[in-house]
Amino acid sequence: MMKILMTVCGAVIFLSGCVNNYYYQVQDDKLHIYFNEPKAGEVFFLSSLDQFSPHETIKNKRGIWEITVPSGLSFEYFFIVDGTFSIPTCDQRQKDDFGFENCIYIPED
Amino acid sequence: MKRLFLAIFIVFFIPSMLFADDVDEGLSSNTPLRIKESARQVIQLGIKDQAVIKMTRTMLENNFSQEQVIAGLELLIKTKKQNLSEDPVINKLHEGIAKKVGAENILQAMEKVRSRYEVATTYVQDMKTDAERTRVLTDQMAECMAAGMDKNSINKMMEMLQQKTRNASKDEAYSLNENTLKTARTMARSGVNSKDIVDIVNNAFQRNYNSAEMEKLGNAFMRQVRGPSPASDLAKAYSAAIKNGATADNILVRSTTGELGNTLDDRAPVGSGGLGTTAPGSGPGGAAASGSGIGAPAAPDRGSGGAVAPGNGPGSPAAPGSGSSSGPVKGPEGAGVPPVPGK
Repeated sequence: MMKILMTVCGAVIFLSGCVNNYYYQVQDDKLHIYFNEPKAGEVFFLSSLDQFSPHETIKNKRGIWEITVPSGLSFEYFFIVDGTFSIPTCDQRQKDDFGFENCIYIPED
Repeated sequence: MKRLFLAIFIVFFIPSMLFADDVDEGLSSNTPLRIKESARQVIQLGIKDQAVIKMTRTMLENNFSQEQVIAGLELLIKTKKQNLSEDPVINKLHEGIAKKVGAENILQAMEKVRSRYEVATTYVQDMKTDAERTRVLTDQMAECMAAGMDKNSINKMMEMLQQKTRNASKDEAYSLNENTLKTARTMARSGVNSKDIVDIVNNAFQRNYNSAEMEKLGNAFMRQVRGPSPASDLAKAYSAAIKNGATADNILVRSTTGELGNTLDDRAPVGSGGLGTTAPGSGPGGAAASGSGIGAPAAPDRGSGGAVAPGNGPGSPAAPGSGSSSGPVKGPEGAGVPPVPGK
């Protein structure tokens, strides 16, 4: 029930035209990252957790791309959307030394 | 005759079996000997053989020349000999490969990472802490630099910290150093310029903020930067508020009640956008959770756990502004990297 509520809240926030095109949810030892790219055909998630190996994300029923990673660690990440490098509108980011930026996830205390 | 065959077997086969090491097993037989030798040197310095083999193999598979592969391995040797953490350097290689960046640019980026850690180590050495704490502070310092803090500002911040911790106990000094660096890193990663970060730290120290208050300050900033106000405006408001006597506790109260002015806004609802507060431990490029349980969620309509699809990797990074609808990603100088289907 809580999961549904949180997901709906998150979805409402995107749809309300708020600044973010992503949100996340921590559940036990898992971090669920949701990325709103409704027109994308394929979205991969890559992070410093495993040396930037590509992981396929799943489009949920609301058309939002979803990936689950272990929570509790901080990491850099980005997405490849239909073959194109992309990062969400995250508020913590860092230059990547290639002329781009990566998003940074930092666990809540 | 039997004995002769046995002798031949012993003379020719046993030694070759003994000398076939992890490098020979991990790299293909047509890998140039010079590369294998370099890989062995890296392993002998104490870097995990599987990491070195994976790195070498990745470079070979991605059209690095022999010289470039050796340059990559030598960079690792240099990193290790300087007693710097090698993981961020190795991670940078894999990140560059994933973004389909050219070999030369990847090597340059790896060198930038190594160089940041070298500078960070120099700063942290002056803090006189034990090995584990040194590692944490070095990571934080290098991450401040990666987030855009310039050398001049870091110098100023370090001077302030040295002054503040001069008469403190080792634990107190470490705690203040750690929390100040964490707060500076949070602000830098939010897009606050170096000068404004130094102003905030300076004002906080003028008001005698202690370690716990520096941490609260960083956490408050991270929550509030999720609102619509630009990070630079928020930083200026923080700086002014601290100068006028706001404490780490009431800066949050004031901001949530709007007393600091129109630029401040309360945080977005939990789990709905911004990322969490600072935490100790590894930064980017740090912990590599191999086999780490990353995957798309089990979707009822798909019934799969969404594991990595081997050989189904992503394409190249977009050229700047080439169609990504997400964050304001700045492109590299010069020509962008064209999108490649990669499927």
